[in-house]
Amino acid sequence: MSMVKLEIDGRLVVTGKDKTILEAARDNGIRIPTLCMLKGLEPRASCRLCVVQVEGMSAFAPACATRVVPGMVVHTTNEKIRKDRKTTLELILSRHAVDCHHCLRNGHSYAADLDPVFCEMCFFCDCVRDGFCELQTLAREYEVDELPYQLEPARYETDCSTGVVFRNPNKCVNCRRCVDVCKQVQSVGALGVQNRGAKTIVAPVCENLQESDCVQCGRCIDVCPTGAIFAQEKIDEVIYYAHQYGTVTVAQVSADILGRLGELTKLKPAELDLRKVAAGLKKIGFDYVMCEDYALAAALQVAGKQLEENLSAENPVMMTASHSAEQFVNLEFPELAGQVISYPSAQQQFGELVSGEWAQAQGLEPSAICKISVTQTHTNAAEALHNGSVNYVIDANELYRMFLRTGVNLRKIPVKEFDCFGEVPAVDVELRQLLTLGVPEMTQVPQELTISMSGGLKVIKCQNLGQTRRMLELVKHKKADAAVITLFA
Amino acid sequence: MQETRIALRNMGKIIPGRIDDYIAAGGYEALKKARLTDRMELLELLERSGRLRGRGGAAFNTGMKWSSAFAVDSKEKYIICNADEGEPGTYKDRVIIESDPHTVIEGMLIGAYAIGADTGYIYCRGEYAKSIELLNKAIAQVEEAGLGGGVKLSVAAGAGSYVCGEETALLESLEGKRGEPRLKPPYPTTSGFRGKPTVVNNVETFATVPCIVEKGAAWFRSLGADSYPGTKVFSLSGDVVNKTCFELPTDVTLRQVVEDCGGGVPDGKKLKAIQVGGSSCAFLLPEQLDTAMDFDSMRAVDAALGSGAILVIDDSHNMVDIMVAITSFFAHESCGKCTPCREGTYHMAQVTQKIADGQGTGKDLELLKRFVEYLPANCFCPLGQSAAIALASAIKLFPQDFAVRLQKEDE
Repeated sequence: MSMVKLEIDGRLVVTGKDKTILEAARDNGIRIPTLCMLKGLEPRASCRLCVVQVEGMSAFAPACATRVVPGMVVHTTNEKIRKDRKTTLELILSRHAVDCHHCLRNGHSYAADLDPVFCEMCFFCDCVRDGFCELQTLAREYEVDELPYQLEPARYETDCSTGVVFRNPNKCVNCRRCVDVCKQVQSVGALGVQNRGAKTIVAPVCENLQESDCVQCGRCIDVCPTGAIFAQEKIDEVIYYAHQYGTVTVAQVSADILGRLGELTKLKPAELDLRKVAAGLKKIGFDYVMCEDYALAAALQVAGKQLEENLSAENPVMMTASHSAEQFVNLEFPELAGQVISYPSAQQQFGELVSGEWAQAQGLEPSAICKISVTQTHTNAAEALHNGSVNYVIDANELYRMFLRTGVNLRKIPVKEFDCFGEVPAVDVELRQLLTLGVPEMTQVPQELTISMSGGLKVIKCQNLGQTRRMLELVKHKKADAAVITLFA
Repeated sequence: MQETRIALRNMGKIIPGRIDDYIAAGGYEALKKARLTDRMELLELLERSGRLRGRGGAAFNTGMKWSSAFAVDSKEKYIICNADEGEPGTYKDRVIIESDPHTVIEGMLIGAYAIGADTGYIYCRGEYAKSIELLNKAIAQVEEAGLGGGVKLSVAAGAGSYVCGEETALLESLEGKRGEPRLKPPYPTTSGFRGKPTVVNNVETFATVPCIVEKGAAWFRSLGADSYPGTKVFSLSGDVVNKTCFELPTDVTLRQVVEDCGGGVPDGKKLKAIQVGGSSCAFLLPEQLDTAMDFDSMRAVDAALGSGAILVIDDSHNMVDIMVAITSFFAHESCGKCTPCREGTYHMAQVTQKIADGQGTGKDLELLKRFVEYLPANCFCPLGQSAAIALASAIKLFPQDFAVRLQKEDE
């Protein structure tokens, strides 16, 4: 790749010719604030927080969408840029419900005095993102205090129709990340933009999300910078059951929460240990805390058997453990719905184990057990709601807030061993790779794998619904070149 | 002051939308001539010899635009006529279409031949029902007369959005998407409608092309200012006797347009200000009446020719009231894509209204001044970038108008 030399904040920077100013700056450790940009998607350049001064240009340029040019001289920060970014934030906040940047309980909101932990503990603000809201963080960084405008927070109704994905348009900043993820990545298009000017709003095409094509994959929740789209928090109920006599609380913790938990607690990977999470949950009052590995291995064994039984020479075997992917197929490819084999997710397997063998062995009534699944994101929340495999699903963000509220300090708490169902069965590495999804992908092209089963099989792993759609189109027209296709949302 | 008519040459002389009348008046001769001319020669005629500059407001060299679309190697190219006339006070495109739709179509067909396009669209403002009807009729007549030359033309109606007059937003709308501007680059000439090379020109630009092809570049350049040759159709409105369109060479002065053609300010009132170019442009004072009406002369006095709209304001108005209309227009028309425009134009209109109502203080005026410096640097597209130009100019030229409306500050 040919390289381009340019100057950013007085530093000579060498970067690839197709890079944007934002990428070039980030690669060189120069931070530019963003609110609408989402890695992996086309830049929208609409929030205008990444504006920078390019010498020779009369207006500011959006760093996310401006390509580097040889000899370009860029200033990412100066008095005018800071002032204008602050005005942009003030304008957003003037229409944003709940003034968390200017908290009454705090008296004043000078960035340096604000303790994010304090914010987490405060019940004055009703926002589920408090503490890790991107808007709030930027407002602190730019020392937004009193707003010079007449405040007119939006007053739209919240949409709780799906029971999983909740919308509060009053906290929407119109970044449209959710719209892009839903349409471009997931190819669902349940969300769109309506009206114009100050009345512009992100909303489902229908009356509410339930009536739209939404399959509750929760990708929009992951990308929302504020509290406009979220999974309903059940922290209070979970803590209630953890304390209640007569109810046995059993939690299963997925190992992939550590990444997000580390970001939130600002702990290094070495300082974090899944057993600390177990200790924290036990401190709150959970009776049993299991690690995900047993249920996952059991689920994968089931899946492996299903796979072997269904392998055929003519048609590819399609498999999924995702409730949302299943919904998607039912809705978009009803003619293929009968061919998709559902295998249990670790969460579902856990739920069945606990209510079945385990309850029997412990001599417990299944109805007296409260099952909680702690996972990285809310991907499985829809499944729990629809088949009742577990009572509650908690993601890394909620877990973080729950620990803050109950005084669990992951830095200091000593580790505690997990409870277990028994010895973890061995699972084929290939099978694990094939049937589990790591980090959700934004890309258009599905992953191709080869596994050694039956003397070598070609596998296509669809890591999001957009990839799933393209693959199923091929299956529909009998053009899919694979023995196994796995579908994830 | 005698008019010089090019775009409006057939106005009142033929029955609009009758192809026989148009042909009898010499119509479609230029198209025949163009199709016998080598493409490079034709582009050269417009670009260098004719120096025709876009009549929509940006004054970009039309030939240059066509050349860059021509230079892109693509089987699929489009020619689009921007008839989404939304700038307040501008109605010249409607007058052109409704008096002679065939000249616009002839211009488009010449353009289609020059760049190698086989499909064209006229994106017409939805409110212009009569224009749409006439254009549809004219297209049918052209097809019947076998003049299309394989180029398929059709009319698309806008749905009432100002920003869709911006060419990339127009393309989005034409593709059936939400009318919002695109990132530039790429420019439409390389990646426009459906990602293919596309030329978007104003109605008046297309209406001018046939005459240049027919009469030659030397003739065209003998008219008007050297850097902006030809004529311009001005639409007069406001406190002026003749509220109508005039087509004049571009070297006329503002005084000639307003006083000689427009008949000046009625009812013995005095001229206070003139806004040339539409709501997104600055105001001019009576002492600037001798400025020439071409793109560069206007720019030299920090004003803009824009679409050629001329709003005359007499001394019975307070400029704050005019600003209420202008700022609320932008707040209404903001597409909502970028933060500064979506929220900024809204608050700017609110604060202006507050001052007009006598509720404003010095702080509110400071806030307006803040928008004046903030919006042009931060907005995504020309709508937001120019939303505060008129306000900036009003505050600078008529501070007294604002001062009388402000509340006395408490000590």
